[in-house]
Amino acid sequence: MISRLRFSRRQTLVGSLALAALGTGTAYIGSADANDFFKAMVHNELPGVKVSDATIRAFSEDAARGSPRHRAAIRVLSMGCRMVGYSGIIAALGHSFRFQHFRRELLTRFLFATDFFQLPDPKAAELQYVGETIACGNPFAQFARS
Amino acid sequence: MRFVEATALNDTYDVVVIGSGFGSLFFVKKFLQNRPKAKVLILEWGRFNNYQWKIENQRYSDIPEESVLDNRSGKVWAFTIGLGGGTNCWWAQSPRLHPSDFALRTKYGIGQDWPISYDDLVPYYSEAEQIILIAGPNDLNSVWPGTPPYPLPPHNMTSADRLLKAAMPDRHFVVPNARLSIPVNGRSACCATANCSLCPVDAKFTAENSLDSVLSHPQVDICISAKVERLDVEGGRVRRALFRSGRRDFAASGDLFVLGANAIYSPYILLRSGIGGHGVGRYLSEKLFAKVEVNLKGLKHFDGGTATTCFNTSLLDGDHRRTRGAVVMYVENRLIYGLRPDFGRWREIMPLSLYIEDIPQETNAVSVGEGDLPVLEDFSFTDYAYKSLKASLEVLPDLLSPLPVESVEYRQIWPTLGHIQGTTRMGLSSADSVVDGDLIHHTLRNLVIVGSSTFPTTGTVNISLTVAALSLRSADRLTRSS
Repeated sequence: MISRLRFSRRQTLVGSLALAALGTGTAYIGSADANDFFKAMVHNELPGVKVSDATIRAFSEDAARGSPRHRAAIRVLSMGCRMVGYSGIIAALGHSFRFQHFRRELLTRFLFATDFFQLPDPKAAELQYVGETIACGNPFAQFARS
Repeated sequence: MRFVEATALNDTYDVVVIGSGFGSLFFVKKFLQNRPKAKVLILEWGRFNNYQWKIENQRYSDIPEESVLDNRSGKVWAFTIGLGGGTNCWWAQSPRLHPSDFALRTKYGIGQDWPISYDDLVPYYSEAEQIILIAGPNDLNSVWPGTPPYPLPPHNMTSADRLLKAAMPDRHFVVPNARLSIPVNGRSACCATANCSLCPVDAKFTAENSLDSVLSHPQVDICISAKVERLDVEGGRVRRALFRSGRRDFAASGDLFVLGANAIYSPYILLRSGIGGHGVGRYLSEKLFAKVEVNLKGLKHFDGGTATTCFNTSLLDGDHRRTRGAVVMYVENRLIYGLRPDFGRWREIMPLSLYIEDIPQETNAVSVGEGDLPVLEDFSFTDYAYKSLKASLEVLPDLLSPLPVESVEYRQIWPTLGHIQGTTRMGLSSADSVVDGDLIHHTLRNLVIVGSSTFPTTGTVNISLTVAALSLRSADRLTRSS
């Protein structure tokens, strides 16, 4: 015999609201894109540096052109950011060599794709996005060619 | 370049060359210099993808190396199938082997001696350095006797290098390399992009930009998309190279055969041809390649003039080689792991690469399986290399004491150094090797095997310059003796 489940109106209402909240939360987390992670990374790693949303968006579009694995990792991190925030990700993954490498690489790419190292005081003016270069990308290199 | 279709090959060539990397092209260069009327055919499995194609596609070849191996070794092996072979993907560091590398058994009672000495190779090293247009310093005679001035000035050191150089003038040197330090013949100088395998400014030596005298020589025919399957032996001589092009089988006849299909495919072709000698396909080896980062206090790095600026010989030669491998420490001027993630201290970090010698093991091998691909079984480095890694990490803080070091952090063993070696070794007879010191097969005297497959030991540094010098010497001696 299968007994029929009976819910009161109150239980039905609470259950519906909970399901809706879960669905909304899942949708919110699921809708995370690369921009979320990069925005969190830039604001946490570069405190006091003025970076516009447009600059972050431009970088995330460029960075999204990486390999499928690279894109997947950024998407997972973006969802993680919506759930636990950037500091939560650092707390969870900060000891992972692979994550540290990934984080450093992205941060380096971002800095090199802006005028950060050309500014005398990068906190004084808003960073300008100049884009990633494939040639002559080391702004610190000194050449002995006189 | 004169490309010929496989269907159009009628002639018997004086020289049939299999593969078109450093070993093959430097052999042909010297051969034609001494015998300009010789007819040469180059059979290349890959295609000719020019510089523009490589930059646009960000790869060297349309045949990925992993697709042509039955790789069960648990290790990555890197090579290029295409016209120019390893000249496409190399990083262009061009040091010589150390004199002791040629006499490891005699000096330290381990490994194998080469049948030739460093001195035998000196004039050919010098010639290769001129051809490749090496940029390098003029203080390396203490390490490599007989090094004449390099054709191009050295690249700039980093600030950290200058401190190390001041403290160790006879052990810390600018790396000689084949990235132009000044513009030459329409090619740009290196701008420290550090993407040397696909140099975006064509500053790196490649066959395409520097060996046109070989590839476009009027006596040279090039047949691409020609995959050599085996060599046909008759009466103690190689008679034909049997190859596939498209879906058809072809044969190329010649008097002399030069096999330079890399240290995986050269032995594979020999094994499929039933051509012997001690250790064909065995002693597959690489150096152990380890990465380290040094956190610096107040000293900014990455201000050198090229991707890798200096090398340090403190851990290179000495009695330790009786029990553990030689180590060469390279200072990297490139962001292997990125900037230091501390605001304002971005550049206070210095990546290092350690190249660690290993003793080739007979059990590390290329074999012929049931399929149509070379099989690479389990591969392992030996304790000879691992002990050296451990010892190096212990002494690095002392070695780097001229710098304001906060910490030295070991990162990882890199998947590959791209130096595949040892599977058709050179030696004194077929009892201990496959080819002699002139790279000629011990019993099939019209077969020359070029490339790093002939190295009896791993040596300590990058291999391409030595491959080029060995080929120049082989062709020189062959053309002068017969």
